[in-house]
Amino acid sequence: MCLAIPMKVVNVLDDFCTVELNGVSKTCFIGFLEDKIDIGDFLLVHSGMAIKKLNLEESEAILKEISLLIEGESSES
Amino acid sequence: MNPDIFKDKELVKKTLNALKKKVEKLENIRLMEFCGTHTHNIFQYGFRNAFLPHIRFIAGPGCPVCVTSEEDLAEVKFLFDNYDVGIIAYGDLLKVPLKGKSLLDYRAEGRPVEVVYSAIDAVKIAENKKDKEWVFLGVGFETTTPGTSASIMIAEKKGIKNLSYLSFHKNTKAVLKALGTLGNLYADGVILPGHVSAVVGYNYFREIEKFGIPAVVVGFEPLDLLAGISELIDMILKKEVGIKCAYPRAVNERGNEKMLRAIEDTFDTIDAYWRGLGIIENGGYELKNFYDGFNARKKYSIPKELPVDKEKGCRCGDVLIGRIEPTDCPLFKKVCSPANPIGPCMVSYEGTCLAYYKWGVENQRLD
Repeated sequence: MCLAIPMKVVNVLDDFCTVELNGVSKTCFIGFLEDKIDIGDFLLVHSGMAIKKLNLEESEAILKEISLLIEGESSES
Repeated sequence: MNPDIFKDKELVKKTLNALKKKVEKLENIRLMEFCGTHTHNIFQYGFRNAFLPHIRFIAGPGCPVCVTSEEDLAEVKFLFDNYDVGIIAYGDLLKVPLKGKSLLDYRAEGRPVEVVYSAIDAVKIAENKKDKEWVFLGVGFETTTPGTSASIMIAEKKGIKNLSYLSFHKNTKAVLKALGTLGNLYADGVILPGHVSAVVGYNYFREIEKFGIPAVVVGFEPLDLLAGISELIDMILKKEVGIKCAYPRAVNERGNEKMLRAIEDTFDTIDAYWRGLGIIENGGYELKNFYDGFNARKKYSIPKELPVDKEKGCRCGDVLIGRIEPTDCPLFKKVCSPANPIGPCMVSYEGTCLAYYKWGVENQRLD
């Protein structure tokens, strides 16, 4: 029930938008989002409602830590 | 950047191997994942066995259907037995036994039971089927609660009269506090729920710092999980207490303030029954008095103390707080199975018993 899926916005109409993943499209409520939503954005969709616009730039620090983990452990072996 | 990078097979394999090396000198570190979706994903990706015996994953009370108490379900049965109402629910709730009979059984007998994907769809059902009184069952944590808020607000704006709401929504901050206070937190670190945190923000869980253990907010893709586990292990090794976020593309410290305001505008926190934990102070959400006309408890005068039959032998309550594993329950895989679930932990898609049944050692995917 707490499963939310990242889906791509393909259309926006007032408080609702159409989101798509692997060819499946759904209507989703965006009335509670704080950000402006544009076509191409990725939203976290839960039970027909977007709970967050994904801020993908924020992932860079995590991906860097993953690289460091991989490099660190492979250099020790 | 495409979010699919967090499920890139090659990157996941390399990260998994590196993390296995990092933890190979540790013994029996217990990490509690609060969220039922984390439980299933940890099994599905093969991480549960991959880190044994160094790390053990303990499932927590984060399956909303599972913690919906017998007391809550007795209210649904009361409605069906005493009123000619239709029930609208999420699909996850359909097979949960209500004193031996599920919503699916009621539907087979011809009682109106509608399944929705979104709480907002309940308004459409009430609009399209005006000859019937409908009750929507609000189940879930702060991820689904704003959806019920939106549904109530839309129903009120449209002047819908044949729809009311029975709120079983639960407050996650209250249960973490209860787990820690009662000494029921059988863990060295906590994997916090990524999607609840997207709504409430990670500051919401600061209370956990008082219990002297670290916690990390974690996402749900395989790379998210590995990054979160790595962060949590680092904190445990450094004896750090506090909260960190390994899911920053979705979660910040504040959460979604519009959603939090919607919850505040429509609900009050109340003491509520949690299966396995009993009554938790401020552990539930009830509709504000302003929305009395939409509150099924008031509309149908549901009595406060309904008789409850606890399932004999079912250890769902102990599974929910990590006290035992499903395999320790005498009913698991003997009497209790997905085809014949005795307790909700075997019914819900997020249930720990279902996870053990479905992703048992022989079924885990490690490729």
